[in-house]
Amino acid sequence: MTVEHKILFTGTMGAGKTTAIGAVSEIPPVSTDVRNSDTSVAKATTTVGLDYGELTLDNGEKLRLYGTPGQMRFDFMWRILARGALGLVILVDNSRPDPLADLDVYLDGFSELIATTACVVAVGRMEAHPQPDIDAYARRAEARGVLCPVLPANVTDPQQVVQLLELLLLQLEA
Amino acid sequence: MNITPKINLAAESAIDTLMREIKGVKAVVISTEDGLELAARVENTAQVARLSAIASSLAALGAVAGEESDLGDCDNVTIEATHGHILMLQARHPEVTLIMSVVAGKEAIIGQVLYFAKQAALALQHA
Repeated sequence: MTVEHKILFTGTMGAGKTTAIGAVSEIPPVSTDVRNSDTSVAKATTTVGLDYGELTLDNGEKLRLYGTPGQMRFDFMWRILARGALGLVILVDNSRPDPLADLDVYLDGFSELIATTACVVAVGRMEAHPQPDIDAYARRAEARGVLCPVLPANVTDPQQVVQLLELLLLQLEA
Repeated sequence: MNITPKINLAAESAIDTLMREIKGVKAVVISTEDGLELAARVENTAQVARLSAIASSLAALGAVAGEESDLGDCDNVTIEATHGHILMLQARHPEVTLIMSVVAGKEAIIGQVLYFAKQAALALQHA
């Protein structure tokens, strides 16, 4: 029987959740993007339901990849999507005004899931926005009692997304 | 996105009509398709933001279900709960797609809710 795992991607609007799933999914991703009407964020569309994709790893394990909406007004979807998830990838956009505070939102919003499963924090757009650095994120997470890998990532690159997923699964095996 | 005053007025008018015509309506909320409130009439105002976001998610999931089943666009989603119904309809105005959510108690007649809500959504689409 094929081993299947449910993995969840979360993070701020525009951090790359839909992009990450689309980068690695073997099936046409399911997307619930609609036109964005929040003028404070320069983005044409936004996810309001969920993203879904699938990926089979080299060892035959199948990952079902779910993406959450980023905005806190959709936190009811966070709770629904977190059910049964084996791990969480938090995507942070370092070009935003206070990305460390963004991290807090998702560490809090998914605290129950993080306490029982694995978590990886991936920081995007670090080339153009090097601060805060990776250590600052690790310290922030640790201050909230979360010990997890934090690394820079460009989620438009499928290899980097796979690396994040492998890192997540490694924690589960440990 | 800036919603024009004309659409805002049409939204208020649609809400007035639904509150007037349907017996047993508890709330009407009109929001953008990404879940931001445009106009509302509701007993408990705390519900409004929540309902706008939930309607947005459900409409989007309904759209995916319609597409995946080769049934086309999702025009409305109806939820039958123990104490009433929630009806969520899309109003596709050329400038902006809106979602109208109607919360009705058990005493409301669902056929009547659906009829008036569809009329109101049509009026909003053509505003």
